[in-house]
Amino acid sequence: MRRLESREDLERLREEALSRQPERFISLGMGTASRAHGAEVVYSALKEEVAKRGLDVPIKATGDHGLCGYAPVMVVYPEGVLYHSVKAQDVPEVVDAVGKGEIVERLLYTDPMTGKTYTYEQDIPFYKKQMRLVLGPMESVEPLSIEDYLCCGGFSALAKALFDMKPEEIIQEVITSGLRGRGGAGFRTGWKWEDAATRPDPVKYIICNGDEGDPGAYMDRCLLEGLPYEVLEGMIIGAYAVGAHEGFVYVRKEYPLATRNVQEAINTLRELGLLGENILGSGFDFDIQVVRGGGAFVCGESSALIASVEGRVGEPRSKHVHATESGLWGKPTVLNNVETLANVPFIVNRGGEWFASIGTEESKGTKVFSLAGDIYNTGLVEVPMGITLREVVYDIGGGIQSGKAFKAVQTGGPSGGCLPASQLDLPVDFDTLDAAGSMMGSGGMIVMDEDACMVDVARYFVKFLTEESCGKCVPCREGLRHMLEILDRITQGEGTMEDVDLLEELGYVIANASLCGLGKSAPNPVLSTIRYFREEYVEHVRDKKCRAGVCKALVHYEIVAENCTGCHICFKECPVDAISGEPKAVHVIDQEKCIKCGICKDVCKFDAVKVV
Amino acid sequence: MAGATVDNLGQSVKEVMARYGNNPARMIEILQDLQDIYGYLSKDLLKEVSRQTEVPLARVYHVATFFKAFTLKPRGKYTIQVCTGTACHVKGAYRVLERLENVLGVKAGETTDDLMFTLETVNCVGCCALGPVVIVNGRYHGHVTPAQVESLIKEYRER
Amino acid sequence: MVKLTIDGKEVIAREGQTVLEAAREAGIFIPTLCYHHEIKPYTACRLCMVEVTKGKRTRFVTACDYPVADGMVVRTDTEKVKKCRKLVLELLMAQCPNLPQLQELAQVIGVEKVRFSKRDDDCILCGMCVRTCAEVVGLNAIGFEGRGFNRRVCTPFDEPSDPCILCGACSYVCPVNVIPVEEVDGYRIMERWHKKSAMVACSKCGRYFMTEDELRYLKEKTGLPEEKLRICMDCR
Repeated sequence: MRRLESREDLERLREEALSRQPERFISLGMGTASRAHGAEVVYSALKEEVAKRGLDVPIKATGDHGLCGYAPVMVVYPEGVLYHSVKAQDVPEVVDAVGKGEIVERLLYTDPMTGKTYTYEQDIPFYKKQMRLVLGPMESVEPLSIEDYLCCGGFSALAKALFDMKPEEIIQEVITSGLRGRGGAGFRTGWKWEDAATRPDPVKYIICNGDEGDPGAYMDRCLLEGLPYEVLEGMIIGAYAVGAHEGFVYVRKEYPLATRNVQEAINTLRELGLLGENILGSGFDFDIQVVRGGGAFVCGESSALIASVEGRVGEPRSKHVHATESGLWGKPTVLNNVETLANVPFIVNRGGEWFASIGTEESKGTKVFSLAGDIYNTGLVEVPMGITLREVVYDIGGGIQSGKAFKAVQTGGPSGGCLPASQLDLPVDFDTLDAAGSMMGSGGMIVMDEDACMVDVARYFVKFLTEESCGKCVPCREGLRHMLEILDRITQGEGTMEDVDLLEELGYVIANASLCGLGKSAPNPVLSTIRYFREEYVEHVRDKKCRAGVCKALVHYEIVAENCTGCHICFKECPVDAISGEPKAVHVIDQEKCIKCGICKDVCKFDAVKVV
Repeated sequence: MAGATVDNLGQSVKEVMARYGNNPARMIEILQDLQDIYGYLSKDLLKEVSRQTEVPLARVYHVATFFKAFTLKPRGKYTIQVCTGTACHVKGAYRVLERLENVLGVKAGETTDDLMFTLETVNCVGCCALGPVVIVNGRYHGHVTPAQVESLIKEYRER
Repeated sequence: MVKLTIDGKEVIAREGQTVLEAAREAGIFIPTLCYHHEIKPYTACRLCMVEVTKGKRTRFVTACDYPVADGMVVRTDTEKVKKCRKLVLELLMAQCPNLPQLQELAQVIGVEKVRFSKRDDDCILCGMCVRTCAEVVGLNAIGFEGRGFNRRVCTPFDEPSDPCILCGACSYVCPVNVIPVEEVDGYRIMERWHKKSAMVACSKCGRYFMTEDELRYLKEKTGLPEEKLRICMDCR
């Protein structure tokens, strides 16, 4: 590829790419989630079939499309016909239909609530209420194809920033936009950049935080895998604005595809002269290195991340000296989340005011959520701030898959909280969610039905945090371990009301006295569940009851006589021979032997096993 | 790994360090690459890393024991990873994990005595609709139930 | 010169001092466990946390590393400070129930009972030993292992540490005195680090006064000839 020496070179390359863009193409989601659903074999089958028929319809293997739960998902453009759960054996029929301009009805998406079938992606309710801004180019861009990215307007923002704007002007646009950090803390990006820009040190760094440690959140992974150029463009603009010449993309170890794609994208940008010395002939030098994490949730915290980039363990430092004053190697350092950076090209191109016109008073723009749990439409969604939780869960998520009652929606991962049905009309907004006892967080949104035990959920998050705590400070290291012990007792039926009070007391101290954000927000899941689901704690403690049927010590498995057909399967599958019964007769579980593993319930086809 | 003698160690460390510009700040990645070669980080390996990077052994040791990516003990032929992300947890991943612990006779984080299986938990691999998810040496198994565990183990044992 | 108030009392401090330093010079008590004036503040024990008001903002910070500023108002006696201090100490006492220094501190700040399950550790993980060996002695002979509640202080692999010269600096700074140093039959022994080193006898008076390892270390650091170093302080 020829090196681009000027803005004109870039535009010439863009024109060439646009002229070569196929009108008709098939886009197949091939991110990690799609591959887990078997997209790779579908991809090979598609390529083979199209070649066999001599069709001029390229197959683009893109990042995960939003409807991850229905992967492999493919869309035929330009019309936007969407097929889901495609298998290799469906491919000949699909390609045949594409060639003839026909539709394969059985592979179309059907709305779970209404039963209505949709042909086109743009009509599907899942997409209608979304505002896919940073995720927008996902379906038409092959992650490493610079041509595809240019066709979407890629790097026009960078050119504008380098040639039409001064660094202070760029920062002003970001301040006007109201963009707040998408990693969870929600700090105003513009102010962070402004602070770093004012530091006189000639050596500054910019780091893209791709550590994404919240279990259940994979927005950043999707962006890094599917749209690496978009994130990198935002980063280069940021570097120019603050005066950094060296940058790092920190990717967590568990994301090999993302790491590979970002590295290759960087290599291509270097070849093109969009990274390195004298970018596009502007005189600005900037290069980026990819750094892999070692597997520690705490490294999502900025000072711990910086420590690990320095080759040390992820132990946070006292925070009253900000990273923008003294960060990596003691130099002014800007640390931004992946999604935050992905927003930057849009703000530069369309202006801060335009961005600020989306969202609420204090939370501008859009937010990407990884919607999961007990809903029909699991996947990645991007919504304007201010949309209500109800709209996300029902209009976009499709409602509760199990058909059972909604119980809670969890946001913010281990730093967030669980909100009950009464809070469903809250708008998605940093401060509103904070005030409600939860947190925006990085974007994990898990929907739970009545089969979730809120005490167990609290215990789950505390357990996670005890394993991830770096162990440096006393409140987090010791406090969380005792919180876990208390929750263990409660879920085992040995808790007392004093225990609940002690949880609140521990929560107060851990939240106030911990050294870093991990500790400070650690009590949120516990405190929010005590706030909204206190009755469940009381039931566990006073009545020794778990209404969701989750806490093993408080429930037992029973066979419902009316439903039991005596098929004998549970008898065979029970690992401890706790079930007795003759074939064709009603079976019985011996409570003394039962280890409550749940296998009998899983294998029973007649719904004859009940958790009481 | 076959052929892993102390002489080879020195050479491997030298090569891996060169990948990262001999920069001791890249310690985490250097250790990851070495673990990919040798399967685990042995005492000799860590001492050699300390020697060549000139980072005190106590520091190298802390890094090697702090991060989840590293293991100081040899691993099994198959690494079984159970996703314990929130969505999988809510779908019952904890029961699958328990069943695996029972069947294999080890706790999460441990390796079976016959060095066949290492059992681990991972936090969210991002295919939440498939939960509970179990990954064996990179191969994804979705909608895993406790009932399927025994046959799953059997399948790998007999390969 | 910086003027601030601590618990209503006007205090004069020097530019660059921390709230803890200013408080101590003014005779105001703030408990610490992981702080020593010769090593960088670590902010791990959290006992020194105080409420600081600068302008309109009040923050809850560690006094050991927070810089003083003119007009700053510091409070060490608020409900928040007391509640957090007590619970933090209570947590430490649950971790290490048999340390007299913690029990003494408990008397001073008012912790009456420990409501949490007790372990039987003796190390409070303040890191003073590790940091002293790193920053003052410069040897990094000991360090941490693991994270979270599995974190501990040890030598790599729990083996005698090569760089350790048994100087005893770690023992000296340990706030809870759990790093004993013994000298028996011409050997200095540090059980906690599983190491012993032969001692050097003074060429003049014959008394054992340092280890062979320390001698080697000093020779390297000072460049002085060995004969000079083999003479104890009293005989020099």
